[in-house]
Amino acid sequence: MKGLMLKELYLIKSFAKQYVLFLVLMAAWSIMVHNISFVATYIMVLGSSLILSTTSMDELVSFNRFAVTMPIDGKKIVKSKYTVLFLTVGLGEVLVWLFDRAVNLLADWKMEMIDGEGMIVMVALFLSANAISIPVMFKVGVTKSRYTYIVVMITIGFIILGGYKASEMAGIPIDDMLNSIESILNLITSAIAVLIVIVSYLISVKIVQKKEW
Amino acid sequence: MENAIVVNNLTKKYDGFVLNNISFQVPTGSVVGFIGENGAGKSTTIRAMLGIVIADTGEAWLLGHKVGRKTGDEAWREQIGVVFDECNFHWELRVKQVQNIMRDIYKTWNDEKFLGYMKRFEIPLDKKVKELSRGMKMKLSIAVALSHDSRVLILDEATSGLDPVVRNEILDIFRELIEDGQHTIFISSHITSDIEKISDYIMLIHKGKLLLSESKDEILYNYAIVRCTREQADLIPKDIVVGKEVCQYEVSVLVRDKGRLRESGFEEKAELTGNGSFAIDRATVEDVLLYTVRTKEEKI
Repeated sequence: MKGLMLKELYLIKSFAKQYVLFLVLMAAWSIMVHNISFVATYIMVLGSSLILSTTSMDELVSFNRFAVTMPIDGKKIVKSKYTVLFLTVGLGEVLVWLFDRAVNLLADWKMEMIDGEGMIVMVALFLSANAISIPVMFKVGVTKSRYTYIVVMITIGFIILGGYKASEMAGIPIDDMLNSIESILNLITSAIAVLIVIVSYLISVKIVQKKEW
Repeated sequence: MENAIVVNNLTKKYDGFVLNNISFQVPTGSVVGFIGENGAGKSTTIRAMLGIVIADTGEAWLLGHKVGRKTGDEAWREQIGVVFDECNFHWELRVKQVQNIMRDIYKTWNDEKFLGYMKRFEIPLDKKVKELSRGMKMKLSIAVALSHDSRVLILDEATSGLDPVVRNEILDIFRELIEDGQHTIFISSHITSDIEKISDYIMLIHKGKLLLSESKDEILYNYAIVRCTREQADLIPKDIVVGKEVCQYEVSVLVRDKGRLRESGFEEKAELTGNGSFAIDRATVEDVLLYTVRTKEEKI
């Protein structure tokens, strides 16, 4: 699997320069407008979508057809993709945290810092959205997987916003309620994310073992 | 002599195409040329043989190992080198990076061998795949296939689209490879001249059916093209006629047994017709392909 991981990292390296440049521009802009929440989300979206970019590069040259002829089983192909996902989402999280701390330390304006629990929820959401789209990626390709990813993210957004709006309209103090059960809620969100990732992995392995490249 | 490749009754159905009950054996140390027109089923056979597509029925054995998708049973694939008609390394990767990736995939990877090929092919290690010509990309793929403990080399149209000089260079490498009698090459191509230069055995596939599987020497020795008049062509025993091409003044007939043609007294009888001269020419592998396919098409 080390070779497959290395291939993923080399592919990411090949387009990393433009992503870094874009992130720097976004970071500068977010400092100017005194709001880093957009760039934080963007870093996470970018990090979690890198796996789709490298798979798209694999598809262009039919790499997996070639990989099947190597001493590699389908499980390793799947495992390498999930490992890259954990790495890039983790790295994105670290970047968000560092940027958040740096801005709060150096800037002459202050904003609410992203706390550890907030970051766990963020990771759980992005991992879940990816975990749902990865089996689609193995089954029907990257393009449809991207659509799945977008639909899942929009659906999650609608559920959260819709919940807020509905509770506001019903006069329920949702913020207070959520704050009182924040730890349990984070635990449940994380547990659901872990479950989705495990199920997603098992489905992906099944798909790859039967896939004709 | 043991067989490096054994294929038994491989069948794979697609919409509009059926790979129909393909069976063959490839002896260790031999070179098999797999010919057929575009869409005949060469690539499907190779993919089913390698487990890239899952055959509906039948099985393939490579170096005594049954090809399948069983997890934990892939170590034997160290001994299989595969080259497709396109380079499977993304064009943003550098040659050095390809080497690093492959070193971590194949336990038997040999850096010295790989660097030797890179030097021989004049491929700089710091070049990106996209900076290489098509010929160089194919040479890189071949170098990768040969830089681990590969005893069976399977090439699917690997020389297509390359100029004759590069193709010849690649054929030279294959010749060197088989000198020790331990390596086996299975090469599919529609460039029959390449196949004729290097193969010990020829297999011909047409519309998913294996029509011919014979030693090249026997084909070149036994097959012949008879160029004669229509009247003379009727004197050729029907059971040795593979196919014919009828022109306005001449008929060209591919026969599968030159000896039987002579024994039948064709030459004497044709002379007696007094109806023009005739010639019996050597048939090439390309003639065998063209006449066989054309005849099958006409029958269909």
